Amino acid sequence: MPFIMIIYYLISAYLLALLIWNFIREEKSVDQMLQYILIMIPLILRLFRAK
Amino acid sequence: MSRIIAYKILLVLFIGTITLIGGLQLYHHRHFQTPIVAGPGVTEVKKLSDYGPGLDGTITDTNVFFLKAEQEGGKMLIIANTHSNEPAALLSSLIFLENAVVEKGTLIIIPQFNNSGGRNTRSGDGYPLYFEIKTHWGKKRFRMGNRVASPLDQWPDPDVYVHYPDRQLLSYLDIRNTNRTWPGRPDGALMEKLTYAAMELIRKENVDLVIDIHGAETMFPVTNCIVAPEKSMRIATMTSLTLKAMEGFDNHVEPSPSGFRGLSHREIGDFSDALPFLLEAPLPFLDQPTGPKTEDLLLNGKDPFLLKLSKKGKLFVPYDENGWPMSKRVGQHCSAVLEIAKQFTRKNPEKALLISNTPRYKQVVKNGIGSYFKDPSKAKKENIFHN
Repeated sequence: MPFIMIIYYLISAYLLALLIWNFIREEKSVDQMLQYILIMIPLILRLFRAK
Repeated sequence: MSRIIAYKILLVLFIGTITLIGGLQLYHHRHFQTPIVAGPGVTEVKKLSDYGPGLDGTITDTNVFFLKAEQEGGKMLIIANTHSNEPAALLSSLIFLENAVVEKGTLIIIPQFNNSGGRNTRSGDGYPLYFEIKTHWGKKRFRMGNRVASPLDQWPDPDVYVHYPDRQLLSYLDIRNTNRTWPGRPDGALMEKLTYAAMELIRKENVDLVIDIHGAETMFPVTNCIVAPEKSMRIATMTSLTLKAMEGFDNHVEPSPSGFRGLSHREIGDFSDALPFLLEAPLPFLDQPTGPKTEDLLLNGKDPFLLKLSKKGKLFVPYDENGWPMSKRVGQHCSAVLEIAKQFTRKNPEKALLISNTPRYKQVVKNGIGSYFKDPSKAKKENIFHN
């Protein structure tokens, strides 16, 4: 795997961790919760290399 | 368990279920196989990875069919599904593949050139995932693909695509467009490797003619035409005039722009001895101001909005209540391919290319595309191929 791809995967993992953290902390806005989940989908698929 | 946690779990399950339902449809589409029945003229089947590095074992590798006559002659390569959302190309190439008999020379066919694009879709535009062609033995089902390769197979995209070797700056998306990555390179992105392998095939097999089959919007001026660079212009012009005179349909000639890089009709000519041609037939499905992108629109090309625009003179092709059915588009491609071979043979009798048992425009329109497809259930197993 090229070095740039490793960086991309690390960025994906970092963003996913931020989103999960925000999702856990969110207690009021349903819109925000929904938004976090939707944004997580492509990052999860990328990290698990699901095609 | 607090109420908020239960609510969050429910939300995750709900979104997960919807994602799974949608994802499974895309998964099945990506892995759906259309059997291709090798016809009486097929003498050999290779893989494109035999010609270039980096394709073996990837989804990009694709079948290359050889129809070689006993008598030596000219060599023609037909490339289809460069853009997999222009399916008249695939259907035309399959008519040749399943029926043609080459009496002199060699015909090489790559029916699913951008195999990754053929397993991609444009969900945001509401593309149908499949389309079906009626045959006398039932319906033959095909995947409806996308213009560019899937990001699942080539990722990430650059901010700007720098074309090799000219360094022209192109849209980031075009690095996955196999009609922008010619002539390719052996150590580039996957689509550059794909076009490089095709260039190597053209050079190693000493191909004389390359025909890249496409479809284009009715509102786009480069439609219903043959695109040709300077070296192919004479044969393209003779083909266009003959088709108009003998078969009654327009197929004007468009010059290949020398300043726009990466296109097959430009780079194949510049980087090999072959004469390239690109065929365009009108494809209303690709136009933007249409109704829903349904299978019916794809196959029949009938759309009320395009009809209104036609009456206002906004289209570049004649358009009426009959639309632009797939049989007309495929028929045009069949006739144009046969006529290019004929015109080349007239000019180069020592490199003659004689192809028989293949229908022309009027026959395809009259009999329907499906009448030229073989029933895979009745074919010998060794004659059935999947990508």
